[in-house]
Amino acid sequence: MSEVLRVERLKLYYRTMSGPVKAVEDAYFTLREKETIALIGESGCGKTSLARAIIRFLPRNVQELSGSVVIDGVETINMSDAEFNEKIRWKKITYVTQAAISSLNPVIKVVDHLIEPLVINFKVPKSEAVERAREMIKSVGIPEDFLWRYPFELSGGMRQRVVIALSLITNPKIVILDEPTSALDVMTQANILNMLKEIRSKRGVSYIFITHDIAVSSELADKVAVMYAGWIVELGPAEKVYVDPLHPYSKGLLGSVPRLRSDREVTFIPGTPPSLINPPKGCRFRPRCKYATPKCEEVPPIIKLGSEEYVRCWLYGEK
Amino acid sequence: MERSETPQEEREELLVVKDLRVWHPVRRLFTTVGYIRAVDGVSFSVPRGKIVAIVGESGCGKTTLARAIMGLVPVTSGSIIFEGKDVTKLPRTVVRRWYTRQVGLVQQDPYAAMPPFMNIKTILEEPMKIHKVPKEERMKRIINMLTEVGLTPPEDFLYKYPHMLSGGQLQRVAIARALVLYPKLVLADEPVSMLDASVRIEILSMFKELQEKYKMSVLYITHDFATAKYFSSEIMVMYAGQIVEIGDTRDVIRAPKHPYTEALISVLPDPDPQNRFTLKKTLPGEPPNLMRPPPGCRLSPRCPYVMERCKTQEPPLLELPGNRKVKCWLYA
Amino acid sequence: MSRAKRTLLLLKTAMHFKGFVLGVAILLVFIGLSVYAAVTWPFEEAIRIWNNPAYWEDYPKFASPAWISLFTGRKEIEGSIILDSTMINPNKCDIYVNETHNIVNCGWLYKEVKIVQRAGRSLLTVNINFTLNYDYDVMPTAGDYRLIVNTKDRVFYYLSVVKPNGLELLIDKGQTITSFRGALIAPPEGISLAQRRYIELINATYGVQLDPAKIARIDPVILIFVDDDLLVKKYVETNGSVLEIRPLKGTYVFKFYRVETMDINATIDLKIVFYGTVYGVAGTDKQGRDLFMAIAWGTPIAIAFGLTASVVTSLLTMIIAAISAWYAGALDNFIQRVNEIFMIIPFLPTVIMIYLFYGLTLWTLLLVIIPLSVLGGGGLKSMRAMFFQIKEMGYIEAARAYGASNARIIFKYMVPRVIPVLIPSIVTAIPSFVFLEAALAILGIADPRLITWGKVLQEAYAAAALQGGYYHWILAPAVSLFLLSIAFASIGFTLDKIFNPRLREL
Repeated sequence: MSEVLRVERLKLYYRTMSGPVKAVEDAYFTLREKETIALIGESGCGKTSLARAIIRFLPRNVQELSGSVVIDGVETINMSDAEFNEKIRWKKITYVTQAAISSLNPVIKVVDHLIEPLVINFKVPKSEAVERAREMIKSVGIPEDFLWRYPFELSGGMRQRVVIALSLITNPKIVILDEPTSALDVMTQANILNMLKEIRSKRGVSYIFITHDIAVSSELADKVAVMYAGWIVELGPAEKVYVDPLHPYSKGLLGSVPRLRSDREVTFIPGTPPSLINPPKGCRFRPRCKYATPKCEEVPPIIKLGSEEYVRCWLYGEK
Repeated sequence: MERSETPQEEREELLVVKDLRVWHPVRRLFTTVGYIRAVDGVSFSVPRGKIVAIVGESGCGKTTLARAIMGLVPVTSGSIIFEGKDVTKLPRTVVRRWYTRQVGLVQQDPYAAMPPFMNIKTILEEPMKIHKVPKEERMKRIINMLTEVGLTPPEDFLYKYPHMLSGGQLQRVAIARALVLYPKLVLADEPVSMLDASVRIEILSMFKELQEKYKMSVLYITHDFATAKYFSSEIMVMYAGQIVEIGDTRDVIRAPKHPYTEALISVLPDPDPQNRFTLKKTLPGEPPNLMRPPPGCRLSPRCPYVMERCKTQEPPLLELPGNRKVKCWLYA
Repeated sequence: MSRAKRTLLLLKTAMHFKGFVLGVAILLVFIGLSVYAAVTWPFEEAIRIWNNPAYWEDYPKFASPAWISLFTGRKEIEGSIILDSTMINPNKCDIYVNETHNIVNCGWLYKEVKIVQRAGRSLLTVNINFTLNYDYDVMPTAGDYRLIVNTKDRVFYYLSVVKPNGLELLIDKGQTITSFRGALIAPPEGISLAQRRYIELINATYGVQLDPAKIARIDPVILIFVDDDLLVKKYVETNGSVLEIRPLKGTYVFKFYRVETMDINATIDLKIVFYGTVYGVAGTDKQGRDLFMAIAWGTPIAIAFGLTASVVTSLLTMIIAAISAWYAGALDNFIQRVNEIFMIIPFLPTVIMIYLFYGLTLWTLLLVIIPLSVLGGGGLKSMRAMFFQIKEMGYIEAARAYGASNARIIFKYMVPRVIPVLIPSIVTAIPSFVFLEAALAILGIADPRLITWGKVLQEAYAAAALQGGYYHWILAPAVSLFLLSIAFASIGFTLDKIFNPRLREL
């Protein structure tokens, strides 16, 4: 399986009136074909910022964007906006935003939404584009005649499927799913996740799956990146991270999820996430970590523990 | 529908809801063309000092049910009997002066639930001012409550405004506000769904401690079975405006009897790396139109176990051993 | 943060906006003006003075503001030149009295009252001389002379002027038994004594025959002060077609002589008034009234009116909108329909009709404008929309849950949300009410007693001020309206920017 995405040392700082917000610091992961990585963490941890940094959906007040983002073998970090737009965005990688349901223009028919990227970005003739739209909408589980309807005629779940269809119609290698099911019913959510699983195996697309719902993230994740205060504190295969997390924060995070099927004790992490303008010196989790030692006042490096396991914690490093 | 409560039991239960219906009229051009049957024949009881969860997906009527119990929406028929008095028949002034003191509300969005132009002290004082708690007592209660919900030192929070606090802190204030009149029943409508995962359990456990201390009953409304399991002792599952299953929380989750409950639970994941290899079994279709619900059992169009009877006759809430009630013909 | 501290912080933030500072500066000037007005001419007195023509008798009419002379470069006559034989200041005059003589000499005034014997009868004779040093670059706009006479028998008199160049012009002669005033203006038809005498005088002195038709159209007051040499030279040069009128600077002596009456107890006085060209800060109007007084007193009235109308209208609108939104249902329907009906009813004609039937004072005007603005304004609908939104907020539901009464929710929970929108709109609405009052006044709908800017404009319009070139009469109230509106508008817009920030910078 070849690599479709490699992120290294990715840094994203925003400029604000109170100072630079260090939203993403030193992010790192790789993604192969057909693989899914889940970015989990609480609000403000930087998962959305990381995704946006990769696909370059950034606001105007970016102070710094640096590191390396190699998409399908091409380094994109130094590309101009125009070049990125032309070559990468919506061709190699697409993005399903949070609350995508309201991102459909209510006065444009579904079919017109779907053919737009094909006609505009790929110069596909309209009749061919409509055929592809037809095929796409069936594969997301919507009957074909809904193509000719308007978004407001569709239910929430259907609209979400349309948005996902939109993200797949250009055959990208990577789709970023940012909270794709948060606004939906549990049943609809399950149906959409089923659909995403089928599409993945049929089309071979890779997902970057962002969610605050840790249980739901396990529905798709092959590997998991746990984020805290702009850092990826742990990165590893699903089998490891969900079952036996290493980083103290991951332990706390996974411990705080109440289980339906087991009677494990539920814990919580006291304290609150730090300010990203003035993060704590050294390890950003240190103020809340029960294993903290004086060494933690130094920034812990990213420690490789296995072929694809990384932790950013002194507990696992050189003494 | 069977009614097994005797009048005496009614009086021992804190809250008894009997055959409650809340129908919203749909008006077109001055005439009513139909009704949205948000709550359609709900009966249950809440004992003193217990936490009961009401679980269901959005649109199932749990929010409307909660509002009806609080007295915030008008009731179409049925009764809400609180400490022996039918609240739906009481004059409005009595409801406002007596009932609102007995029942507290914690809402989902802490930022929307607080007036942004009032500071924490004023917010907590309002219910007491309305119910004429003497001035000296008010400050005592405020300080006490802030400490109880974990906002210490309380003096630090008194003069802050809602936007200065985090979601978790503000929700604690909401809980303090609901408790400041020492109500007997608290309705918590998705109190932690807007908070971060790690904060949820913290808040719920604090809430649980307070509930035990003050011996209040709590109606915990949520779509999240997992927190319901953690927090409540009894659970009620709602679908299309009706209660389809009632029982002890752990039992219901471990062994759901109603097809809907079973489907709902099977669809909810735990963090498990194996999840990604399997497709979830879901119910086809969507919840029914509440203006024109299907005849018979409301789940019949989607139910994997549907029988002929289900399509024409609405099943009653059948009592099963082990403190379980199920609204399904499978158990007749 | 306490209320006082918050207000202070607000002011500090507002100070950063130049518009705000400008607006406040202008407003402070106007407030200062109001204070000055109230102190200098207390209200009742001001009204009395303003409506009393006699008070303004000696004031120049249609005078421009005094500071105009900075621009014209000419020496203008400020106020009026008043020569009054009754104005005797004992400290500055030599007075000599005996049984037959009463002589007063004040330098500019020489008054001699004598009782003489002629043909066996006692006669009272009076001689009054006014000495006037005229060094202005302009002519007076008008002039008149008044004989103030208290007598039982006829008084004979001659009045003439000796110009600096030595020419003596007879102004008037005759007899009278009562006080009277003679205006030094050209008669509508024919030719006056002074004008005829002037022609004779020029003929006698220069040998030039002036065209009577032309002279007949020149006010005698001008003939009094005109530079004759220049006039005659130019007349001759242009063969009688150009009459060059320039004032002759120098010392003039007005002689009131051969004044006799048989009533030896009579009192006879002379007052000559030459009306000036400029006066005061804002000039004067047709009646000579000081427009500055009108502007100064118009200010507090404008501000008070605008403020009251705006505040009361906004508050009432807010309350009705809150009730309409909160109770919804039939009450809301009713209020909305009433609102729509009033929106259709034309505002101005209604006010005019009410005025025609009932008359109006400023307060009744408010009483009419406020309900019409509240019930017929668009503010009701937009406030109601806001309240509907607020009504859906979680904390309103929470308040109902803990037993808040409807009134409490409306006033303690909903209204405070709306105040940040309300305050700027109150301030920005003030100018429109001020303008409304002025507009109504121009149409003639005004409190007859009060002095308002609109009234001034109306009178200016009625007297065709623009056609007459009396721009100052219109400019004074117009500029005031303009500046006051800018002041309130700037303050209001700044407040809106502060209270309702639209874009937040990261």
